[in-house]
Amino acid sequence: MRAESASTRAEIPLGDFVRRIDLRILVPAVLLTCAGLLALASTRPSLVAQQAGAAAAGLCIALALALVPFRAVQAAAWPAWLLSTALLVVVLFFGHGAKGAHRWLKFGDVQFQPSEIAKVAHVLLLARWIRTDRRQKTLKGLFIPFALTAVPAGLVLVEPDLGSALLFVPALFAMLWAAGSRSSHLAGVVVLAMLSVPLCYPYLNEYQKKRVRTFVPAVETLEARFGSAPQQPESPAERSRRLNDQRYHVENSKVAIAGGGLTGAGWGEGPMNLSDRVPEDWTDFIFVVHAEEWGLLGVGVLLLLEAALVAGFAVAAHESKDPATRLLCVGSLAMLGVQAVVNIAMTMDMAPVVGVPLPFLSYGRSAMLSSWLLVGLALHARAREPHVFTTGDFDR
Amino acid sequence: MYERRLSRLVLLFGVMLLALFARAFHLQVVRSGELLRRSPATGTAVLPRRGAILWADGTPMVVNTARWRALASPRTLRAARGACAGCGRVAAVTEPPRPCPECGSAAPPSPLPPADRGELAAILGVSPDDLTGFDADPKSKSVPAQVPLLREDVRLPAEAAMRLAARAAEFPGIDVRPEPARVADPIVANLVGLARLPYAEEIDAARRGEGLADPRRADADLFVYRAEQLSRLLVGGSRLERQFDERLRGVPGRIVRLPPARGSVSSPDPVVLEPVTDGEDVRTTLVRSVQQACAEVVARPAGSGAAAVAIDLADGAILGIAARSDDAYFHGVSALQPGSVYKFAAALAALESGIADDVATSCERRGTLPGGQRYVCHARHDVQRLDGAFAHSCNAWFHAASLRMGSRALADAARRLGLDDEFALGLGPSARNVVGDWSATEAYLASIGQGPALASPLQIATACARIATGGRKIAPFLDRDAGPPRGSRDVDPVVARHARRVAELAAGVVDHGTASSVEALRALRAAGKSGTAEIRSRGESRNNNNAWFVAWAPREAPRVVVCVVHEQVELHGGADVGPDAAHVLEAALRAR
Repeated sequence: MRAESASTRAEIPLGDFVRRIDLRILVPAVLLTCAGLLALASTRPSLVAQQAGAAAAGLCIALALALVPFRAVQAAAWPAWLLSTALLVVVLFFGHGAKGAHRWLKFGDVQFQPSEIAKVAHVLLLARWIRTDRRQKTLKGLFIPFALTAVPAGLVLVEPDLGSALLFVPALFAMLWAAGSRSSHLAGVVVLAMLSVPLCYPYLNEYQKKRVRTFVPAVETLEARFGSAPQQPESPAERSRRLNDQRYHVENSKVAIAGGGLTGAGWGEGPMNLSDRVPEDWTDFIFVVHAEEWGLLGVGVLLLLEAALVAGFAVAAHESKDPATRLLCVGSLAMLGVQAVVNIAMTMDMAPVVGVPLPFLSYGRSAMLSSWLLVGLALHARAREPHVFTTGDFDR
Repeated sequence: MYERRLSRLVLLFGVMLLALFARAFHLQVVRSGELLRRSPATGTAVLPRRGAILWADGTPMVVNTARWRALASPRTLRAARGACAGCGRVAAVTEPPRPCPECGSAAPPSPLPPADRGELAAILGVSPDDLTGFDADPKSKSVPAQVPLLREDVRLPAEAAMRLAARAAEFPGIDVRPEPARVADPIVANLVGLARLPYAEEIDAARRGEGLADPRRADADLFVYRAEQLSRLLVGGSRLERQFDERLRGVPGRIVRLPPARGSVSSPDPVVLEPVTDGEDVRTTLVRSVQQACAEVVARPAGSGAAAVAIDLADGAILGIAARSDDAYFHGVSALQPGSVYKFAAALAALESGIADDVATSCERRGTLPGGQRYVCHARHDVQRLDGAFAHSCNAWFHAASLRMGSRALADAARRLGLDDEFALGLGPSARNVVGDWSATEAYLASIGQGPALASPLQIATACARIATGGRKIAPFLDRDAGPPRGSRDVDPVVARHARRVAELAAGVVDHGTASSVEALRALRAAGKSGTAEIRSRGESRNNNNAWFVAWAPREAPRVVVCVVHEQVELHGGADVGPDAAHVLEAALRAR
């Protein structure tokens, strides 16, 4: 049963809106964006203007979202999801990218990645669906959320973009779990997924398999034993050389991070950055630039900002009274938090290199916009949530 | 429940972020130094200067240089060439065709025949037959990708190498490059040994993280040369280059070359990740004049080999050591049949056993001892006691003494004189464990330096050094910076007890014994012993000898000891090798 008061149906005055912008989310996001621009200025100065423009646009859109009425945003969930899914289909046929991948759509001078929009639409729709469906505590009730995740994730996987596809899953699990799904149900799904990994592995692209082999060398042994392709005999020296080549990216990344020491080499002074030794150091490996230039102290500050952002989302979710707004905050938390953790972990050889950008720091206008959109959803949730008291939605 | 789950979610993220910070701490604080050193991809190696090996006075006996090498790729050596239609420049034909780098003409070049052997030989100033790179079969799988263009024994002068390098583009498959090399003073070339580029196995070991370590670091296994460093770094292959390699080698540095700043054409100074540490110069105890004398003595064209050693009796420093042989071993430290120079051990054993003054023999050159054992001597000596037997090298006396004193006494004396010690000089396989549990028959022969008795010239010189210094446990050494080994100032009580008497015996050799005809030895006031070991080679009907002479001088206050041996010669120790020993003694005394 939902009770609505007349006062909640009325629009919140604009003056109050400013006071209701949640600075606990906004400030860490802004500071992370500034850190990203600083690192980008060190490694690729020519891209700073574009990235700053995207950040400014993202900030404006995020603040503007806070002006949009709550119901309007909720009503846009399905259209957004359908549109993003359609774009994911279009990009498979008309998209372009490097090395045979289809990830970007171009309209005139504007180029964007539909998978980034799909992430935001995914969180928005799941929040609405779980809020209205309310069957998440049953096993049957999980099918639709999983299906709503599998469709866009599968289309992203086919691009191929394994890293982005996998990001849909933590957001789904976090939102379902926060909404009250049984832990045993979710654990069972996880176990099933892990058991199916060997079945799915042969269908990965070769470059994706290479990344898995680089991170888990034992996979190579298993492939040699159970794989169908005959293995060429290799001397220990040749094998050693091949492994060194495969690990070139990660090894250089570790060396660059290690080179930062306690206080870093200084802005623009990192030797590995200056000599372009770390590939993709303006996109997926931008953390390496930051770590090399600011050292452990800089890494600590960055991780504190990430923690502050996560905490901001969590506090916002905690203070939210409407389940949908809570789920928006939880979904945004999970999407951005997992992305940050995976990205930083892969630069330090704690996870396979899966090509996931670092939110607010990695160069990429689409990624920057989607990160700010997720922030915008949480700001919107806090600024515009209706004062609704509901019973029986979530157990307290 | 929702609140609980939310807080668990936050806690999970908190733990993950903490784990990331811990990992960053591990990389940036704990493993920072190691990662920078171990990474195969950081920076460019800066090779150190290999240290020099120095004479005792500090002048170098080995210097660094560069040697030009020409390599050929058999598969492309015979590739087609073409002359540019525009400017006539000769270059290799590429597929697809590229414009001429000289004039930019894209017209197809005029075809030319493949590289001509004679033409290359003319450029290099060698005979066409010396270009063995043309003989490699390009279709054979056993032929490596690159082979030497020239025969191994043909040296490539720098001018010829640069002439070829200037025209390298005309000859596809030819690579001319300078390689680091070492040049040693000719009189020590045999002693210094070889410094070479690493073998492929050593480079592979370095890739696996095994191999050479920098010994100057306390945690020596922390630093391992990387493959790209080793591939151009000289390492010691043999003799002194190998013995001192860890100090000579140095530690490569690493730099990162930076691109030019925007708008600038010059590159900034490279960033030094690790400073290069040049190799350490190693000062030996060798004195050039003494080494020269040793080298002159062993160069005498007689026999299958020769060796000469000179030791400073003040501390055991080797002033000179030279050897020549038909095999790959350094005979200055190899086990040889010593002959009568081994009688120092027998004399010491007899004195210690207390039987020296009791034994008297009547030597008839060939005969039978009272116990029935047969003996052969080089001359008839009539009745002899120790003094005369030593001076005239009477085998009969020493045989008789060995029967009285027993094999154990002889072996013990030999060990006390250092005749069983291996002095680790790094000059190759050295005589050691040559004094065993001899039977009576073996001791009978060993007492005159035949049969199982073996010793190197260095050991014989050391034995005499211990006698000449009154029993000090002299141990020879080559590294001046390291100094004499520990314990070399200790005194062996047995040797000390009888050193004076043995020294008098040695003086008798020079005064009225087998070396009395060598005036030079008397002039130097030397004391010593001759030796002529009979070596019967296969297929030879005549006996060949190892002719020895060991001496120290001056006998009143000994300063140096010298040992010279000529192997498988018709010479005799005293008259023939004595002058050689005197020559080296003279040089050593001048140096001291």
